[in-house]
Amino acid sequence: MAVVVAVAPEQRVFVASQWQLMWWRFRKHKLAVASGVVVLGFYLVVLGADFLAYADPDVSEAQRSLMPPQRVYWFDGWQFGPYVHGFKGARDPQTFKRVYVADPSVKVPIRFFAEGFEYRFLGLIPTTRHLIGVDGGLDASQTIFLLGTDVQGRDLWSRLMYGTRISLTIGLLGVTASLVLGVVLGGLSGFYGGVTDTIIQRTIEILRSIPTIPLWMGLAAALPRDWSILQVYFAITIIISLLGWTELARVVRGRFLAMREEDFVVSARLVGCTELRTIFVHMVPSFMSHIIAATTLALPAMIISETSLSFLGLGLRPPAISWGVLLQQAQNVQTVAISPWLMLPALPVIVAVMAFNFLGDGLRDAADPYGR
Amino acid sequence: MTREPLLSVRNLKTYFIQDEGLVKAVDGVSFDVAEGVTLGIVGESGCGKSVTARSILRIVDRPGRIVEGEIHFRRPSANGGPGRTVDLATLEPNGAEMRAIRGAEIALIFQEPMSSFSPVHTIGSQIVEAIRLHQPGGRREARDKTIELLRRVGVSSPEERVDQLSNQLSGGMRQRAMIAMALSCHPTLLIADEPTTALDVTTQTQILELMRQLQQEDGMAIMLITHDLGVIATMATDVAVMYLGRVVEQAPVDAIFHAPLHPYTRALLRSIPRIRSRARLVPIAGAVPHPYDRPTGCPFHPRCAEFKAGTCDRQEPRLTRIGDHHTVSCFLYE
Amino acid sequence: MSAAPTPLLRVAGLQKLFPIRKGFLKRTAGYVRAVDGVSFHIDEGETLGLVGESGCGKTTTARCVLRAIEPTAGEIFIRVANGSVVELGQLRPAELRALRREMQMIFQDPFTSLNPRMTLLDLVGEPLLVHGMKSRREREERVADLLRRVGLRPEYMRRFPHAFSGGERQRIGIARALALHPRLVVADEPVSALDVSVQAQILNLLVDLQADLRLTYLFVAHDLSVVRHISNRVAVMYVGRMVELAKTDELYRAPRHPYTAALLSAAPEPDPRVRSRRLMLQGEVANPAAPPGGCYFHPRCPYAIDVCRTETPAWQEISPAHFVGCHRAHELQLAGVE
Repeated sequence: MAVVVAVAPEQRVFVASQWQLMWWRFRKHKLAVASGVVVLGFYLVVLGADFLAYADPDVSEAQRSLMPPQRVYWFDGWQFGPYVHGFKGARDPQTFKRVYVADPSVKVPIRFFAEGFEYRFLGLIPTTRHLIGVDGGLDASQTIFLLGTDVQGRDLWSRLMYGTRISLTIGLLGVTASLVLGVVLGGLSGFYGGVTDTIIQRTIEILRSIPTIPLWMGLAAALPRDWSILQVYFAITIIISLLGWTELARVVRGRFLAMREEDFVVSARLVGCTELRTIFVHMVPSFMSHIIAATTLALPAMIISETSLSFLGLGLRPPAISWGVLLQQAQNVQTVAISPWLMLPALPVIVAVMAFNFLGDGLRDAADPYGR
Repeated sequence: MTREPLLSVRNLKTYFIQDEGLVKAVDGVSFDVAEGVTLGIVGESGCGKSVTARSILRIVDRPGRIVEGEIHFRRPSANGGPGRTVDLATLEPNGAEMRAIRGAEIALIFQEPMSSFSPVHTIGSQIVEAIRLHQPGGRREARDKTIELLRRVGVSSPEERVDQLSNQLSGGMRQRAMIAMALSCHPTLLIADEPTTALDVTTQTQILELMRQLQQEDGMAIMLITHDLGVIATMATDVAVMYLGRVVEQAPVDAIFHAPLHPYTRALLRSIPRIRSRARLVPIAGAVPHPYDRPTGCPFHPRCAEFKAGTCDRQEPRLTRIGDHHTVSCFLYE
Repeated sequence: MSAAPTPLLRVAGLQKLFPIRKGFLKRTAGYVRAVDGVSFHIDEGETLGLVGESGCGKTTTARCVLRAIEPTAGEIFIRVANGSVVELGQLRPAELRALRREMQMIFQDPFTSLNPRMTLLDLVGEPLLVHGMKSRREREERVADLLRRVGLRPEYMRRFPHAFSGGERQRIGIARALALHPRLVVADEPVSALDVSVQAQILNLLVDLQADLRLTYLFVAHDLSVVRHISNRVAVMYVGRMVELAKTDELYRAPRHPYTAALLSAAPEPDPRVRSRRLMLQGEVANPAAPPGGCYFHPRCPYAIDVCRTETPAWQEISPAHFVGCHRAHELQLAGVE
């Protein structure tokens, strides 16, 4: 005798799950949605860094060091066909500096899906195709430098793509590591209380009271000089997350403590749920969304940490490429005065940090769709 | 009773315009409060009783606003003659006149005294502040007055309490201090919004008794808002019963409890458990509808035992006068 | 009187102290005596009302009975389905979990007591699932049956609690509590968070379910009118102690403890014609962290004499099945209602 009742549109909300309700609420936060798109864009860059780059980031060429960004001409006559002018480098006889002059007679057309250096797309498929490039691939005499080059004549655009990959994954890995530490230790602290809680909480307080920069410097200085790039990369991730977990642990502990006394958690115990079921079916889903928001908000700090460490020469070192490493070249005021484009890698840092913050704010507001 | 009432609310409508829909929190409410009497306003959650009070004081939270209606309030005059009547609905919510009225001529006490006092200032300093805002005189004088007021509302050892923070007082003491603050400027109208709901029953008796005694001494009118019919029966002279933003019935207290006319009032009185009987209760069917989907016509019709199809769900009943002091809004009496 | 059967629930000397911690090292500076030596029993099919003001320990008592809170001292005996009597304090966690079939709780606030992330089916079906009903089909049928029983439409079982009003949510909570066919149901202020017009529906539902399913209720409330409607016997608590326990009508008609009398007289009645004489208590409820000596009620008691200030009154059976803890119970003539 069960009657099938057609669900009217306004009753959609009655059968809407937690995530649906959160999505509906998040959607209203326009800035957060836009930031979400930006963040998504950044991670697409992470995935396709080599596809978006058109020059091997490590190939240097003394003949074209410190080239300024090129102007892109979008139309060739009345037809769409982006091209750049060729450059002629010459040394100024008085200052001995290299100056570059555009040569309007040479048109270097920009090709889409052009041939270039070889790489594995997504680390799997070997290919030589890149989003843009020039005829003749690597061997071409004339190439493009959208954002100019650095001292060693390496293409800044391509290096920025690779730097984005490193900087954002180091942030993500760092946050994941902090999340694991934070959830486990915060969970233990909140769930068991007593001595466990006291020990973990005092540890957090001690960790948080150490000034961060000297601590990083100390830890980074302790890294053996002969470690490979990969080893340093992971070491830095661990250093960053060692400090990052404390905040998350506090959030998790606070949620656990509050949640233990919630009526519906008491109710779960009283109907006979085991501890495990109570935790994983009732408690964790209730604060998962808060954790996601807190994680998103923790990411910018990670990114900034990596950037500042590497900038100071304590984090990643060349030949690794990250935003911090790229900015290291802009440490010298004189260099910046002559070649201001070396400051460009600061832009993605600012945009990424802001986007993560707005996204995190939006997520946090949407995290509790049942608030009355 | 030839004088015009102290407060006269006419066809008040306060709506909340939200993304999710329009909430007609108060939808055409009319009632009078005569000088020196207690009008009880009784209703369940969502009936608009608190919003009515906030509308009178012009402290409706956004996005709510008064969209229609008049709130005539007779301001006391300095020389004791007949005062000037103003329409509060037309005043600027934060203008000079409204500020002179709010807190002084019309005072308010809330349900939760904990949140009405600042936790970082002493009780005394907050009452002193209230006094000095509306009355001339120095700080010293105001402090003496505060101690006197605290003594009057039954706060034990007021000389010490005056310098305590609100969280150092018990719930009952806080509510007394709240009343002291409300009375500090000799209001002619005291609006009490669920003043005893957060209190224990023995403390509730004390506070209600105190309010009654202060009313006898000061002669102020009280608008007592509550969901508790027991409190209404104990305190009120006249009663207005509200349901979903409307006054469905208004009458002297004895008539409301012993000769109720509106089906909602009658059903409500049948449904509440009584201390003197064990008889099976007669519940009202259904629940108070969500404010987003208000029924058409008479708001009570889906739960009404006397529902007449074609009338109650189509048209809105008018407030009809039955006898001298009894009005009811129901098609049974039109 | 024939020999009474063993009561379904017997509580002896129940005590719950909450430590007050102070300072950096969280040393225990004292105790809040939330429940301090409470004993009572409930027969099968009976309702015992537990009343008192906030902080009197009635909710703590109720939660200790279900071991939602671990009592500091005291014994709780429950007669289980096979007739044997079990002391809850002796049980291991797994045994206690199995015993949850026998005793369930209805919560005060229907908004916080239902996990908002679960559908009705999962909420009401969870007790069945954790006690071994693995088949989803079977659970669905049983849940539909339970929902119908508490007056909800089974078609709604895919909905989440936020689709329902307070009264309906309380029905969901009741269905969840009844899913396992418990014998003892502890109802902690089950109607006080509801609208006045909905309270009667829930009270009537509880009465009907008790008759149909032969339930035993421990009914906690602060509202004496509500308690009168549902209870066979009523116990009154004050600052962690029981002060009076008697058959409902007897307690209301002829209370023997001054506090009971004061509570009865303080309850505002919905009738303007009985406004009359109120026995008004002075002062406020004592602080359970630092209760006064002797009888805890003596500072507010209009009948207090010297002995009340120094000695704790004994818990005595003043007339058959009527217990009171007052030094002057024999001499006082107290007014009740009707």
